[in-house]
Amino acid sequence: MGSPTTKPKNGVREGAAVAKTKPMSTDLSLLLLQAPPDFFRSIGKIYVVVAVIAIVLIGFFVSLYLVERRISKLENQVNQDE
Amino acid sequence: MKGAWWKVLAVVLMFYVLFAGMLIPLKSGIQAVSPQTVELGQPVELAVTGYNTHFDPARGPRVWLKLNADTLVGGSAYGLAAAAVVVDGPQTLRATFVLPEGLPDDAKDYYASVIVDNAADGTFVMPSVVALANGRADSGDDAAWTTRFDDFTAATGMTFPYRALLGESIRNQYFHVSLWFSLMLLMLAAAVYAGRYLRSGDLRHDYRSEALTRTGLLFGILGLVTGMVWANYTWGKPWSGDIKQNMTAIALLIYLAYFVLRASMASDQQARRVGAAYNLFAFAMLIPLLYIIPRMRESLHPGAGGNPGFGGEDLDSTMRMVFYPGIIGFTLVGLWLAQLWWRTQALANNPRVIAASDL
Repeated sequence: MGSPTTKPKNGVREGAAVAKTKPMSTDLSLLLLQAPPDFFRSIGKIYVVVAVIAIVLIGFFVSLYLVERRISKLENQVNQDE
Repeated sequence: MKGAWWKVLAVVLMFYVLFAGMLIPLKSGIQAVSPQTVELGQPVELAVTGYNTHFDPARGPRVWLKLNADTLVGGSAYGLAAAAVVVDGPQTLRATFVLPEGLPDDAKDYYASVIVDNAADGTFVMPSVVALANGRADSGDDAAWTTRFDDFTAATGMTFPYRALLGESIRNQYFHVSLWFSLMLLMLAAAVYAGRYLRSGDLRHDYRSEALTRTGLLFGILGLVTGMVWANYTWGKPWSGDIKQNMTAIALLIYLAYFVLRASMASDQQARRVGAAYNLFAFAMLIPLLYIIPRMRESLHPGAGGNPGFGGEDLDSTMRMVFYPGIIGFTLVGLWLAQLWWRTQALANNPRVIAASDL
């Protein structure tokens, strides 16, 4: 048979050999745990959802305000002439 | 209130989405495991931090390490059950493993997933989180790694999926993603009315088309801003130059140009006709920009870059029960806002109102 490297089985063992030098692991989730979470990251990032809902509501209210301004203009136009 | 049934439906759906979307809890999950590198051939104690968990010694939490390998005959798999589990609190436990000296011959890599099972929370996994170092080749440890994974506890009750990166912000599916689906429907309606205006010259169709485009653009801006907020706390920064972010920004600029175009025309008649024709082209561009091009490239968004579409852990059946009503609810609210605008426009162009203001 061919050289051992062509066999996936041996490829795995080479992978295990690489692991003898410390594998690339930055313990990211550990770092995240140790750092005190800011407000938006606290309680599982729930405040991100609150912020998103708030932005959507602000958008709707701004839209309503623009319609109201247009109606006020029309009212003024009509009322001036009476 | 006659003819307002869909506005009632809009209110009901929005309240349902708000309450169900915010109140249904997330599944239990694993937030962190430490250490994330362990040496084979030695006993090791893993500290597991859970999310929404209720670890309790009485409920006998069980912990496993599972290797990435094909399932073995008879339902077993390569893995290791914890020799001892010490519960420190509802969210924290320590599990001791006695690791064999080597890996099985057909392990796919040297990473192990951590599985926790307890009677209160069901079973949950943190995939490929622990790296196994210092493995001795040809150790013949296949038998030591062969473990039966069975007797898992099924979690009960309605829950949303727990994703370590998203946490509770997975709920934004109902408030951010719904917006984009609604935008698509509003812009479709706008294009249909633009076409009807071009065919009939009926001004009412133009008012509707313009108002729907206006509302769609509002939804687009809100979608972009809410997406940036969400991205900041999940992908690390508000704008990553992600293909979908860039393409949606272009799509919104195209629609912004619709209003610039209309405003720049000398006569109202010209503004309406050119605007309606442009609206059709803008919609024809919206589909590839939002749904086709992002799928051809790597993207952080799910459902893009060769990722499977929404499904599995990103959108399970419980989420669909909130997500689809959310799309309908947001679309109806958008229609409502658009209707206020087109009625106002129609009033402004009403001959009697014009006559009154011109006197």
